[in-house]
Amino acid sequence: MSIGLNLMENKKINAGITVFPGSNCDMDVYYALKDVFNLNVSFLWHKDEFHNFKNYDFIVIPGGFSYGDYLRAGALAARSRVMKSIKEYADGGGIVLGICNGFQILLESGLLKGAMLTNKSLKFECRDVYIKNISGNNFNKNNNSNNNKSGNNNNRENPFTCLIEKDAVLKLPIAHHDGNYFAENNELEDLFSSGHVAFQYCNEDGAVSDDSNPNGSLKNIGGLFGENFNVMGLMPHPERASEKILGSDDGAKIFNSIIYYIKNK
Amino acid sequence: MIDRYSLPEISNIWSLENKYNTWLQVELAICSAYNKIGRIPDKSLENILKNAKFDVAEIEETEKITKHDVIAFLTNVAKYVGEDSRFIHLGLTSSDIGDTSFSLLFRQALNLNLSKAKILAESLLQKALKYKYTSMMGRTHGIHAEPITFGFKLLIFYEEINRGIVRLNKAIETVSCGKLSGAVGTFANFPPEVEKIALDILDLKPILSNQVIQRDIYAECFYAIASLGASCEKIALEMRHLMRTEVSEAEEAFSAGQKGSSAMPHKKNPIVSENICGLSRILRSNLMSALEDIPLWHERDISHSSVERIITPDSTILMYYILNQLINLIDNMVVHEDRMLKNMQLTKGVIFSQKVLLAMIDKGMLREDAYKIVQKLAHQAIQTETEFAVLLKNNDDVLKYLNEAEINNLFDINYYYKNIDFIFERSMSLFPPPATAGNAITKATVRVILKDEVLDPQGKAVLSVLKSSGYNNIEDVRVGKHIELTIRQNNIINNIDKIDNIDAHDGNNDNGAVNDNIDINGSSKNNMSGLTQKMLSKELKDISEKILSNPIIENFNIEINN
Repeated sequence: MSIGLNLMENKKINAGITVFPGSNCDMDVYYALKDVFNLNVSFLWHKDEFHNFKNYDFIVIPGGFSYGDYLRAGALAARSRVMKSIKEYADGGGIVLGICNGFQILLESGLLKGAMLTNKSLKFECRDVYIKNISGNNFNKNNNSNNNKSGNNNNRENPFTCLIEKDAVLKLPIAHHDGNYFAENNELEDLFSSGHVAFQYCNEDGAVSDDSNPNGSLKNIGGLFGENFNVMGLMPHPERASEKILGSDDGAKIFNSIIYYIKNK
Repeated sequence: MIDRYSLPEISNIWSLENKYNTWLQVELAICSAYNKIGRIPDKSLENILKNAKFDVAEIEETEKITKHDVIAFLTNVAKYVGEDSRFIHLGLTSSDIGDTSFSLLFRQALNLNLSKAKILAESLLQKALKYKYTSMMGRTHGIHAEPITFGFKLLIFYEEINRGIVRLNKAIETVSCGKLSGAVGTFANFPPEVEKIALDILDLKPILSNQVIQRDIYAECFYAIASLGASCEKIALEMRHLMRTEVSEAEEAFSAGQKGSSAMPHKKNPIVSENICGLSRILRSNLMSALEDIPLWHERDISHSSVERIITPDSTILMYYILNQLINLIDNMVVHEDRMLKNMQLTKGVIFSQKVLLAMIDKGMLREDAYKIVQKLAHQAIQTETEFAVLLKNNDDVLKYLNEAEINNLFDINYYYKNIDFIFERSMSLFPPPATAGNAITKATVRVILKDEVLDPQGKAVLSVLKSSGYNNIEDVRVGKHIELTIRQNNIINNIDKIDNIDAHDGNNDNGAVNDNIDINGSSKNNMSGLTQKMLSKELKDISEKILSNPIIENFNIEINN
């Protein structure tokens, strides 16, 4: 192990969390990142642009109801000043995780493809669900040549699932009204074939079906990567499942992946 | 006026329906005035105001018998009012109603023309600013004189149309007069205070009259129209000159499918300009008739009436048509800036002759001598098709006063444009851009709805409620958003860059590309120049596409209202 890497391991990771009027998971994410994962955490106010991109190892756009979901969920937040900077940050390779409303904001800002519709049930869905990691990432294992031979190119390096086995099932809570993912047919096919779908809703055993789809999302999509795999939108809330005491610590796998990725990149 | 030249909004003013309606307004204003002085009881006035109406067809039937339109009208109104109709038309003569109404109708028609003329001014200014620095030849007597810019030429038109607007405004002020003073105008059977109150209600001024309003009042309106028409004709005439094959500096837009000639397929003719030039002649000849209406016998004769019946609708309708045509022409004209430059070079640089002359005098040469030399070499340049500068440089007399570098410096076109900014600033402070461009408030509605192929859970829920409430005929429900925007249009001068973008975006004259899924409703269309419409449409489309809707799942349409 090089000296450089040692230094990196000793250095605290810096995370930013955006705050919009109506964000309500910002403090949950703050708690998880600071107290559970021991990171340096600071907030990014929606009215401010920022340009000190090097000060952030990654940024989380938390859940909530930014701007009261007026016009469309995430629509107004996506046009805020802080999002202008986040787009630049992401275009430069910065890691951005959008959770729930954060996912909607990423879609509205064009960092992710597609759009969210109202849940098919018309209800606010608030419960634990299962999602399956279909990104097949194995950043920590260098002997993944078998996967490569299989011919699919899902085998992308990415910060969000690099410590999660392919096809692993996570138990995470959802809490949303507009999580019904939509994209046009050909775009949907492209997203799958290019490995941009991160997670699909499934049952406890990993079976993907309409029964395990909580909101009507096309192809049960619950998590999606941006074009360069440095941005991810995730409908369930990993921050609410990052300690055993909360009923599941599967969410920690996502944050641990990000931390591992940053330290080893 | 024949249908071909009649735009509905102005023809409607001269419809029988509107004429009788105006008569009724006048009669009712008089009744209200009589009521104020205690001559008509409140109850009766209330009844009159509530029930007074007319039927055009019935009036026409009655007129066949009475041979008198006002009497036929009053008979018809009486039918609807009943007994209280005895209070209508008290102490009046037909001309009181006829002339007062005529003023009101004329004012309506002039006001409509005024709003169109303002749009024309706006269009001219927008184009003048766009071509402010576009070099072209200035011509006197049809012969190359000195350089100007195309924007300068258009600015001349802008100021002139603005003077036309001033004249129209004055005409509107002049025609805003009424006459309610009975036969021969002595108030013998009609109280002057009733005239005052009634005319106040109608927003008209009283004017000393015999039996009729004196016709110089109306002649002034016809002059304002004929003069504005002549100015429009002048602009159209310029377009015809610029479009001549040998000149080819600007042309009318030629739409897809348009044909120039039945025999010669290559033709693109200045038909709109020629149309304007022709129609303007009618406005001028109608002015002659209007002037001839001024001298009437004694306290009146009726020789003016038949003339006015024709020329007033005709002139106001034609004026409106001309303005409309010219606005379209200006908004969509095609300008060949390269050809303008090429034409300037036709005369081999002799257009700089005055500068050469002045420079030689400046250096000490006698004016007569200098003139003789410059004239000789300039004519020689054209005859032998040799560059004027070359001839100057080879002439020993010239070289005694000017060296080669000094001669080169004289051939600088920018010299002629050093005051172009000043010229524009002065015009625009004299005639600030019209209100429609500067401060107009426009309302727009944007409707956003999920695309057909996208599931609308809300619509489905509403549908199921409708079904369970027994409305079984409802097939489907889609729920969308209705967003209303109030827009204060920026001053067009600040948006001059945007205009360029839009034109580049648009190609020649087809604004379909921008106005896809945008409806501009009738009155807005009439109150905005084409460029303003385009600018507004573009902005609204941007807003709708980028923010108000999510194009992945939603469609939108825009409606612009005034």
